[in-house]
Amino acid sequence: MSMTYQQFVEYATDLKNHSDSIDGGWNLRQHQCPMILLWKTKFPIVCEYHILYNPSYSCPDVFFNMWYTDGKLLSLEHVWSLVHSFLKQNVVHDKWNAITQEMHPFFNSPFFRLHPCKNTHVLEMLGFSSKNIYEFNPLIAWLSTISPIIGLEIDLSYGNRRLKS
Amino acid sequence: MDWKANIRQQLESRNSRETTSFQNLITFYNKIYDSSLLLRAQNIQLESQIIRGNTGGDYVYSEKISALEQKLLLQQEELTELHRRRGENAQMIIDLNAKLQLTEQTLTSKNNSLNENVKLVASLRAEISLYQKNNSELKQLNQVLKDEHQALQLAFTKLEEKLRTLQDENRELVVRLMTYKSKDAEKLNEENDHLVRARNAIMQNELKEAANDMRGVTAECLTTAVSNSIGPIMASPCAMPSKATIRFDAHDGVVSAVKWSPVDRMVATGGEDRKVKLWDVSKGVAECKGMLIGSNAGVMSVEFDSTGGQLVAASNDLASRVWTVNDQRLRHTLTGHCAKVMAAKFMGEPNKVVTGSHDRTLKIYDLRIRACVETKFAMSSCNDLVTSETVGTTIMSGHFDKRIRFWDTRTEKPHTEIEVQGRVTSLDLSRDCNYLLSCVRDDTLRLVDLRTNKIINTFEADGFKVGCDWTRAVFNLEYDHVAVGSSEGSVFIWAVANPEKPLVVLKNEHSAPVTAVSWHQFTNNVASVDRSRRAVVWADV
Amino acid sequence: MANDTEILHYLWNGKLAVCFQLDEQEIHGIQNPEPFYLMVPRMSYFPLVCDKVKKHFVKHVDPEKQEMEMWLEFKNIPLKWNNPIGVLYDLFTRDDKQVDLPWKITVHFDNFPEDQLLRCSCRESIESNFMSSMKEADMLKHRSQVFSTMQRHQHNQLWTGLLNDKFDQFWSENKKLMEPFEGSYFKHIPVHFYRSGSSVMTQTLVKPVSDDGNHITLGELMKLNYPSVDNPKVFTHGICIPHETPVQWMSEHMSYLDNFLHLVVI
Repeated sequence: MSMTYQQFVEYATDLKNHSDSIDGGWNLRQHQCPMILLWKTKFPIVCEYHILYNPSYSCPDVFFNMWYTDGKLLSLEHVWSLVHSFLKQNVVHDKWNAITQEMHPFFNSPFFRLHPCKNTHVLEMLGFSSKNIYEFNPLIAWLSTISPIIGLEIDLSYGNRRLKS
Repeated sequence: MDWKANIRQQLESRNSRETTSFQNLITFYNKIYDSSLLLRAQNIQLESQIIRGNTGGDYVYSEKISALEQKLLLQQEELTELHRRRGENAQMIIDLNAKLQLTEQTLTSKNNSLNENVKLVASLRAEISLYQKNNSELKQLNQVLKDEHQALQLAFTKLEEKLRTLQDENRELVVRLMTYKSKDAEKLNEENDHLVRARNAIMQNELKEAANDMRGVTAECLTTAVSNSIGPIMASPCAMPSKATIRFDAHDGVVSAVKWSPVDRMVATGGEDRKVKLWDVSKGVAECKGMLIGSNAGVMSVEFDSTGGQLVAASNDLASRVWTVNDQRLRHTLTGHCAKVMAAKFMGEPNKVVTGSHDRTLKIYDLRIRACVETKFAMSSCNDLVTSETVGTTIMSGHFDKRIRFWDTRTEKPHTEIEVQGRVTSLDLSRDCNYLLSCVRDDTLRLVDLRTNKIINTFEADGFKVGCDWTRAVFNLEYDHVAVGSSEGSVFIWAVANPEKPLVVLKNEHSAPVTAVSWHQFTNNVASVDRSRRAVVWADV
Repeated sequence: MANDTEILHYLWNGKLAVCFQLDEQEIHGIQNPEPFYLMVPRMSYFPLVCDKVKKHFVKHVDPEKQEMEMWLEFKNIPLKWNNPIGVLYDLFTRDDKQVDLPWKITVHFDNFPEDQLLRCSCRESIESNFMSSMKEADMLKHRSQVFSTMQRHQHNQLWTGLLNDKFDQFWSENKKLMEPFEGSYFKHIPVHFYRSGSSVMTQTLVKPVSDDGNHITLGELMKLNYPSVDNPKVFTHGICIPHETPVQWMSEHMSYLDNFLHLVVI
């Protein structure tokens, strides 16, 4: 078990608070379970990021979509090509197991998604376990790890956060 | 594990429903579709080749094309064939349907007729039972009737027996009656004989006296005087005619009949010349008093009635005629026979005439109505007949078949028949109607006693031959002598009592067979005629 | 048990008759395309079986559009290819009445509904989708202990077994995934719930065994998840499952090939 549901909620709320403080743009929504989402426009691409809890894998899940300004969805190939260069090779090698298109569990529309097994893998690599209580937000740690893959920029200030116990 | 079985069953049905139903269909459909695409592609390819106008090196192609075209043609033909067959099958189906309908119709009609027949059978059965009932009833009735019939039959037989006994009684009584009557007749005869003898005696006495008185008077005058007197004149028993007194030619041709008139000294003769002549012989010569004409053929017999006023003659022209003698006028012509009439006699008052003919019949004519009232079938040609007034017998006829028949006017058949040895040529009846003289073709005369119907005498002689089939033999008035003409021209006379030998033979006058003779009523004069026109009167001289 | 293998065979062999028709407005040229009939396996996915369909219809479409991705639609609802065919068909069941066979699906090339359908550009996308489902199922059942230990060729065998319709090839590997790792029950039951009429999928953590140790039946599961629905009927694979069926057994035998139970609740 990498992260329990309650832990996720806690971490997510914390992220949200920080985001509010720096005006990061993250929002917290409730759709059967809390979800934080972010809208970003990185010209000429509009991005949307959702972070949910995946009960099957007991870890966070990230869904994102990218559109051109005319509303057309990016192709999967283009998404793969946007992966940051230093991770690209890893990803390209096994891209079909990294980023694929999936149905969003709440909105029932296609979203790009990072594979959950990858997420658990990352968390394991980071040495996180649900049994421990950390001072920092594991969610932010995880997010910052995977952000190059999904084209998300995270402000460095997130890293300075300390969880309020 | 109900749920498991449920699930399994549902899956099974689902598969059969969803999968198996469509599997084959879709695979085949896809196959067909693929092949059609292929063919289309090939087609396009070929077309493009054709369009490009490939020659020479495309020999293979053109071959292929022709091969394909042939195949195509074959396929088309097959297709048309299949279409045609389909049409035919459809037609067959229609025909079969029609046939089916027909058979169904016939079936229904047969069913109907069957039903009708069943009904008919039932009704017929009912009828049969009815008829059977009727039949049994009728049988019962029949049985009853049969019983009644039997009873009646018994009664009838009884009655028949009664009848027979009564008939026997009747016959017995009749016989008795006959014997009584014959006894009576004998008595009468005796009396008559007495009377005759008495008269003879008186006559003899008178004659003796006369003879004594008048010698020189000729026998002729005597006889004339005698014959002129009215009433029965008794001649001497021995006064037989011996000599011809008058000779004359009566007719042109065969003279067949001669008869003395009962009242005058007149003789009637009938001959082949179709005439009946009346001769007066009172004066010693024959004077022709008159001629009775009217006959169309030869006259076979003549007969006076009892008064002498009428004469009937039978002729070969199939008829008989009746004249009145005085005015010699023809009174009646009696036709009806189919062959020549041989004899005609008066009967009754006289108002009847009986004729006998060669057509084997006897006819009785009633002169008042001038018609034949009766015809008797005699089976044989009649040569002569006589009539009498005896009860039980009124007509006697002599026939070609050697029989003499006795007739009653009331009966159809002769009540008696007597057979003789030859053809009967003539009959004569004695005055007392007891004796019948017949001349028979076997050259004899037979005398029949009518009381016994038996032949009592036969007259024959040497030299006597019956000349023809209608030779007439006659009794004299006292029926003690008989006379007949012979074929060599002489007349034979017998005494009845002495049949073997003729009493007198009158010769030398006739040169031809004598056909008929006749005795005078009162005197013993005999008239005879022959086949050669001659008539002779014989007297006792 | 022999019965269970029989059921597995029944499920494997389930096929639906589909009639594909090109959308009338996309017909290009004078010749109308014939409808394309196909028997599609219930357990398979549309992009795997529609090559011929694409080939058949693509030549009737405007040449400019021929390179575009083909997508399918039924009653104006785009069909999500990432669901197994049987699931898509069962979703249209209304009031116990299934869609008439053959299933008339309209083929489109133009106007791909990006907001409703995932892109399926190549075979690998289907494979990755399938494999990720299996991984997730394994995670739920065995905490990912079984699938991750299997070698790549075994994973391939599963995929090729599905592709080539080879029951024995598939199940020789899949049966490993169907055995409980510890004890007699899976950790959790991998199940997707759908309400009839919508293709919204809900997924909850389902335990196969109750707290007091008895196996949970379908009826009890329904009561837990859909307490508001009165006498819910559960459809899967086109049949109605009795309520007394144990959920554990269902997961072992009635899962689709991606090892998930797809249950349509009416």
